[in-house]
Amino acid sequence: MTKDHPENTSRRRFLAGSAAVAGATATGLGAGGLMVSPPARAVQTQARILIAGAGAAGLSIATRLSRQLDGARITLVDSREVHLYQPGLTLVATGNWTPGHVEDRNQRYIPEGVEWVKDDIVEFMPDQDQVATAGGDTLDYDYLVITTGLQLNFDEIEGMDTDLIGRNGIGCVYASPDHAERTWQAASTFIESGGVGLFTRPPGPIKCAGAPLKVTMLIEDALQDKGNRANAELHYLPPAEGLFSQPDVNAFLKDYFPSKRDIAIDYNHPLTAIDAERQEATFTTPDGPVTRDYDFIHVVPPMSAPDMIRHGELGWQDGSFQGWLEVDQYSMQHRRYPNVFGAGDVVGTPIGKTAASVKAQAPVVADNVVAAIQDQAFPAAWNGYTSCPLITEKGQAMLVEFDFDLAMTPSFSFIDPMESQWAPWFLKDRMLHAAYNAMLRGRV
Amino acid sequence: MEFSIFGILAVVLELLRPVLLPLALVILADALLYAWVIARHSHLRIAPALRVSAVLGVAGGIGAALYFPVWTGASITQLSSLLDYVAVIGAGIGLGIAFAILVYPPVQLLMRKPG
Repeated sequence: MTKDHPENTSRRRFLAGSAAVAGATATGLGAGGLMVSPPARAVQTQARILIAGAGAAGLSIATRLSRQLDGARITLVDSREVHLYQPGLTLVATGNWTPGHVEDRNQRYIPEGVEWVKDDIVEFMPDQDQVATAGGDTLDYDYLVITTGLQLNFDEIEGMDTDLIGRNGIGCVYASPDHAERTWQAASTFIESGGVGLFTRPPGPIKCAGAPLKVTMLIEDALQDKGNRANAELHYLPPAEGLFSQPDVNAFLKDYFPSKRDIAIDYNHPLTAIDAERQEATFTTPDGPVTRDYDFIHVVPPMSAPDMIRHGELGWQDGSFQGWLEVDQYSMQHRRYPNVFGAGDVVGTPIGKTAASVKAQAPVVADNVVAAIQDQAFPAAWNGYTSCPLITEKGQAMLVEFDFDLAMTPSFSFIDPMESQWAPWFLKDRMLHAAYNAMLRGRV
Repeated sequence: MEFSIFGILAVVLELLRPVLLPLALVILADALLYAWVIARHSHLRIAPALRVSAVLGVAGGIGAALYFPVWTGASITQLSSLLDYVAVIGAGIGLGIAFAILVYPPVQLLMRKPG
């Protein structure tokens, strides 16, 4: 097995494909001449591959490996039968979609020949090439792909509990479709009555880092539509000095929020406690604790890798990604256990906890696992590609795409990533779910 | 940018998956009507039917273009860039052509020569 630094190959891009499809579909035109090479012949092997987690990354990689390998024993471990289209939760929490729109079944996407163990992994034992499950089983593997996703740490906010979502003006887009729907109920009351709206963002990496911004702008837009904007005071409260990791978008938002949307930005305000009954939120600022009254608050919990990784052998032991899965950010191979790979929200990489990142990572992991089985150099690398259709209002969005260099990497030169337009909203509202499902089936 | 025609078709399939069966039935019915039209072409008034189908296609295309933003929960006033207008007009042209093709066989059969 090798850990040679792979060539940084160009990967097909999630939104690029979606936009192309949108164009081709909308105009009724085909896209002849855009054919790519057919997949290589399946590699013969008897390797046992265990995939931990049946989320977007786990299903996509399982599908790809089942096609690329012949004779391998591929096992997918996850007790969840419902599959969530998580990129749609923002639209549920802002009243644009219903919860049913984001709920699907994992069974529909598990390819033939892949064994599905409906159990949960509770411990990784990488020195023994084994995992232990909640059901008491021990599973052996030759290669392990970790796609568990991340965990939401609501308990790190004193007084916060998911049961509070939808009550006392508390909303959260991240917990589940049900919680997202309840968030919209709480937000609707606020939109009707006005008052003080607080929109938080925790320190550390979070999935879909654009979601807190989108929720803020969509609720501000709904207040305008309702004719009640003058009766609402909105604050966005980031934990430090930044709003977005991409510098151009960060600079844009720092001006756009206060000047165009009348949303105050209160920097260095990580939420540390909430008193639901009194509708008070406490922030730990450089000047000490600050308590604010609110009529609506969007709570974003701190996030981490699952505890078994965070406190186990497989997480980064120190550094900026401490606790997240320790993978090489290009090959997605574990840096200390060469038969372990990772993808999705669980990995400790500079950027990229989005479905668009998964789209770019899944073929890299599949190709590199196949190469590892053959003891060949890795053929693929992730360049950090990620994307965020940053919704600015119902009906308009900015199509932001970038990579590890934090430079804009627009898939189409004619789409200005700094311009709020209807076309990116159309992609978000109508096309990306189809592209996501195609990704799960390993088709894009 | 790199993407495959196979990938594009896969996403279109996913988009249409919920309506794939009724869509297939409509296309099948239309294909049968086309076969009937071809078999009876000597008894048909081709040019007037083509004109009527074209007019219906134009009307359908304009309607589709106007409805396209509304279909996404947006309004026509939110079209702000050249790209937005190109997308909507492109959709109108594509759907208009599809509509004209779809309605031609029944229109043609309704415009048979007397006797």
